[in-house]
Amino acid sequence: MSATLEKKTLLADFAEYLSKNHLEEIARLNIRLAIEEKVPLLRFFEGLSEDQLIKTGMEGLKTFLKGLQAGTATEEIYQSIDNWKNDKLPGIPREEVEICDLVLINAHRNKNIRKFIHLFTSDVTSAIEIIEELDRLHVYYNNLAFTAFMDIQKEVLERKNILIIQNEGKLKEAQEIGLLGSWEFDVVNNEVSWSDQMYRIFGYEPGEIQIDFEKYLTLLHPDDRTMVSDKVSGIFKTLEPYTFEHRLIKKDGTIAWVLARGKVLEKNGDHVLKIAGTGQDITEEKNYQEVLEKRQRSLEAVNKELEAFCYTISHDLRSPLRAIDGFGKMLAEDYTDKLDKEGVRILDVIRNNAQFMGSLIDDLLDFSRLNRKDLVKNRFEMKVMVESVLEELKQANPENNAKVILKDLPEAFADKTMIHQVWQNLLSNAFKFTSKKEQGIIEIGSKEGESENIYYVKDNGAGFDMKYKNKLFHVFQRLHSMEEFTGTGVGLATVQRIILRNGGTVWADGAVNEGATFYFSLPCN
Amino acid sequence: MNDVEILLVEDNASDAELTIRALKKNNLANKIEHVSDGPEALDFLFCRGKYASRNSRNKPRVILLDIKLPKLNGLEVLKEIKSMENSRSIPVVMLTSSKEDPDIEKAYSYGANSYIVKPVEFENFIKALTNIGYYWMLVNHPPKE
Repeated sequence: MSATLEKKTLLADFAEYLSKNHLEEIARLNIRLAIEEKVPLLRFFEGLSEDQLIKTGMEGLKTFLKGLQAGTATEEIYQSIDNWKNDKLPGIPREEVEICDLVLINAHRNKNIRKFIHLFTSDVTSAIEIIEELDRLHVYYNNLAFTAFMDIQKEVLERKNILIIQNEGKLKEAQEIGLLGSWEFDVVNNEVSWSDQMYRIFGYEPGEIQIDFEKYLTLLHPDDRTMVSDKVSGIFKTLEPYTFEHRLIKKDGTIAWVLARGKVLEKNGDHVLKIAGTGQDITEEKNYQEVLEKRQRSLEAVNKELEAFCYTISHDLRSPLRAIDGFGKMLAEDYTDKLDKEGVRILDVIRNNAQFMGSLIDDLLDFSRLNRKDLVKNRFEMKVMVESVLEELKQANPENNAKVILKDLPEAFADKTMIHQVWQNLLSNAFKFTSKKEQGIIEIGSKEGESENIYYVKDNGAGFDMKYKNKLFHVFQRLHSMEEFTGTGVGLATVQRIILRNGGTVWADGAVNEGATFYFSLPCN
Repeated sequence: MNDVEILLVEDNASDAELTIRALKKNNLANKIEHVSDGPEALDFLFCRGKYASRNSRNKPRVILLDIKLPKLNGLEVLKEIKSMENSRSIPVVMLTSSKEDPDIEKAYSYGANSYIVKPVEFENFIKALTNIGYYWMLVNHPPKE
């Protein structure tokens, strides 16, 4: 260092001379050489033109020459290397800088500066002094740069190692969490190696037992040994990977289920040398599956019971009603002369109620059957269906003179029989609730969408109060008295259940005495 | 006279009374034999037990058979009727309370000729009986022996 200080003036003068007269020239020479020799660092300046590169180079050179002038060149060099080491180079990650970047750039600068010595001094001694000084700085720079480079690489490697170790840990953890063990089978030497988790699947501590193929077979469930042996040896012929499930007996005697996978790892022609694979503990899954199957079976049993129950209801509940109605009718036929007007009316009330209860039972049975019936989805013409339902209803209610406006309807993909029932319910409601209007109007239309189509039935009938709209679709909920409009209160509940089962939704708009609109949507596919 | 036109197998007394009244009122049958369970029906048809003295040549022209019966149910009785040489040709109309009865299909596979759903409403019951009755009594003549 002291040497540098002593010689300072000559080198400083030279640096000053260069700064004043040849700064841009040297920078240009440096950049040209860097491009010519393809200095890797240039890739970080790809977007810049040559002029821009030269300007950047001039900045660096200026700092360097200033250091020479002030006699602080070594400090400047130290600082710039330190910046690099601490990753403070703007836009350049420190580990991306290669050793040849440093060597080349330093060498180019040294080379190009020398070219101007003869312009500065014709004195050979002075020239040599300057060259020596520059070389010394050159070496100093290279030394620092190499050390820094090594330090950086070491740190990068260490970090990678830590990551690798962490990843190994994670893999182990993943194996444990996923209950996934791995193994390799060296066929030539009959050597089997297991991962720690593989031991645990069998209920052992890692490495607790010696394992080879024969030993492995003895650990399996006796009923599965032949199957496993066949499957594993099958791979020697087929060379194809296998996957199968089997049982094993754990150390504590309990049975575990394993999903086994294997494939050829090494072979010599068709001769298998090594196979490898995984074993996954699927005992919980299997147990869960068993529970599900049990539940499914009990559900089916409940369903059967329910069916039997419905059967009983439909038979046994109806016959007393039939007797009430039938014997009432007999009374009316055979004994009218003994009954007065009021007596006949009372008899009528009895019979009407018996009949109504009959329809309640029928509707309820239909409703409960909806959930048990399998869905059969088909594509069909909605408009054709509506036309036929309208025809049926007009024939059944010839006195109804409502005006029907049927607009175009997109075809549907749903259970045809069920949707037929929906239209029957909605349209017969529309006829029913417009029956007291001077001129009932019923409009049937739709709105096509991308994923679903919406169909609607709009009428100008009795309507309903929106505050009860939640009750509309509940079974046995009615918003009108029997004196106003008859009904069992199952129709709209049926509509809702059908539409829900077909993947759509139902909703309604309305106002008292102003009519109602019932909408339902169905998915297009 | 032993001449029986209709054999009614029905355990429910009210249903039986309603049925008999409806048939008579519509002049469908004057001679109706009513039995209330399966074994009795078979005894009648095959002239066994308390019907041992009955003339086996007098066959009913149609049997109305309730699906739900105590002891032997309607399907079992039907099977028996259709498996015996001298009863096979008698038309059997099944009576049921529910149109969704899964037994209806079975009944057809065992050889039932028709079925009637006993509705709650008396009028409809008569209508159903009348339709089926006219058909089997008047149109569909059993084969001559």
